[in-house]
Amino acid sequence: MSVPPGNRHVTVVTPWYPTQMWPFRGAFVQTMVEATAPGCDSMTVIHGDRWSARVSDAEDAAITEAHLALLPRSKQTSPTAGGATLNYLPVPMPVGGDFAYVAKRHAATLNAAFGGAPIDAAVVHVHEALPSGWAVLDNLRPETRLFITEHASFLEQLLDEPEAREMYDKVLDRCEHLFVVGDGTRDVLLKALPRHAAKVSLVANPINFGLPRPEPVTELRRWFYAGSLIPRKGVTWLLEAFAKCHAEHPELTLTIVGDGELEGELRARVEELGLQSAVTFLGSVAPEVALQLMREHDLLVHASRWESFGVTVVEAVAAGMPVLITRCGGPEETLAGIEEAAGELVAVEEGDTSLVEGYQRLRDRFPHGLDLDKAQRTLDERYGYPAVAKMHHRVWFE
Amino acid sequence: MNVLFLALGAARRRAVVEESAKVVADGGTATVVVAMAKQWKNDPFAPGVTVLDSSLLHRDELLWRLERLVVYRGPEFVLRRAFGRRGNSAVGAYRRKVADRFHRRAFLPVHKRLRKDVSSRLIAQHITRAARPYEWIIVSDQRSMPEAVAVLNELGPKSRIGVAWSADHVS
Repeated sequence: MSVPPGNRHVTVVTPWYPTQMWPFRGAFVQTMVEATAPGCDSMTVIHGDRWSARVSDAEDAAITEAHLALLPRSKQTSPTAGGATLNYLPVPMPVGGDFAYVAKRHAATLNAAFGGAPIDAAVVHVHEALPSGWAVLDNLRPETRLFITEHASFLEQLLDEPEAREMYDKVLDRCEHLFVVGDGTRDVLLKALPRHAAKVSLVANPINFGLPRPEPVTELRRWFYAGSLIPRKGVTWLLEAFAKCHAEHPELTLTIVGDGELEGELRARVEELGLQSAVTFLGSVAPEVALQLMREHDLLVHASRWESFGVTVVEAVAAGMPVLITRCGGPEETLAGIEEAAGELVAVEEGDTSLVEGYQRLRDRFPHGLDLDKAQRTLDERYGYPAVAKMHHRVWFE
Repeated sequence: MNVLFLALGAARRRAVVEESAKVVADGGTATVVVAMAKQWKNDPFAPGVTVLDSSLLHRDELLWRLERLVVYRGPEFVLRRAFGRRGNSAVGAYRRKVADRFHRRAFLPVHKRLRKDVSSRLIAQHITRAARPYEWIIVSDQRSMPEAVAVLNELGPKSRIGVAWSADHVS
């Protein structure tokens, strides 16, 4: 097949997409595909999934040779969201390696998969300039339009590496437009590569507002957290805040969805606090399960230190749930103008005080001091599937 | 659908556990070939999933049978004769404290190194002799890639078995 440039054939290339291994990772890419694929003639999602292991150089060479031998005879495609086709490509590499190295490994896999042929699409939209943007550079037809969405929470570290910054610069030279999901990400990017300012603009992660909860929230009893259990998410302070609020209101419960390096520490702390019957750890769950859980809980509590967008916050409001969250970057932008209607934003602190006080304030003014319907309507207009799809289709095809 | 997962590197355990469970839940059969079962002790497989320690495929080999004779059957015979009625408990203690430890810590690592090239042939034999033909090999981690190539070479060009990176793409 050869796609005429005017047609609406799109290839999305991403290092993140939900798998059984990491059900959460890349859920925002999946929602973008679900929102935008219906308006295209066809959409193919190429998921270059990094497979890391501690291997010697000799083992790595043998693995690379085997990988190249297996690629032509492996089945890689399956249907995915929005009627798109998913093309799954593992990218084997040793653990470690800097951002430039990882991007080169992704490029090698993509080159091998395409065998030197160009990607057959009028539009290629990559998530993450490195590794995915770099990986596609050798596989684009001259007339193919390249777009990028940058989400990386580690963008600052990436751009601190001279070689990675140079590669990023080349990707930006080739692309027509780069979208970022928050002002924080844009600031980091333009500080390192200011000459590309004209190509950079904000875009929202699309959120599905079409799944209402059966009953509205009537009390702020069942707390909910979904995300990685890592220091940046402030989840230890969340647990401490919950313990203090639980001491005041013993009917409170907390459900924690996700996993990460702090899981053992958090479980031990729950035992130490005697909160085993109030705190539930569910581990990682598929995105649709997480959304269902949101419709069965009363309050999203997030204590992140920094977020570029804060998808979970918008998903919570879409699920009809108030939010108690830190002013960690993304949420101030996503909830601009509706903070009071959606819940309570508190300061980022190395402690639990702001969360505890925020919960008390929220409890005092619930339900009449909130307007969840208004918050939902506003966010639907900003981040609902139709709004995000319309924006993408406009830049891709007009 | 009858699926063989090659999971010799144990690097993507959650994916293998979830995908094999899904294959069985959908009415198929799933066999997972692992290098060392103990690497999976914290990742239990769903009921109905068959786990095959690749080292056990070697059980019919001379080296393996010799170890059985010298480390297990011979000493156990002597212990039973020597301890009479208490022979069974002596044999149990010997197995736990001596024979099994030797098998795990000395024999298996050496055996794996010496007979590495034979693994792919034995896995290929397992595939061709399976009562219900395998339709897919799922290459689940990067350490399994060289083994997968060797197995496919053993099976030959006429084999119709498919290869995929995830069972999600073949269901």
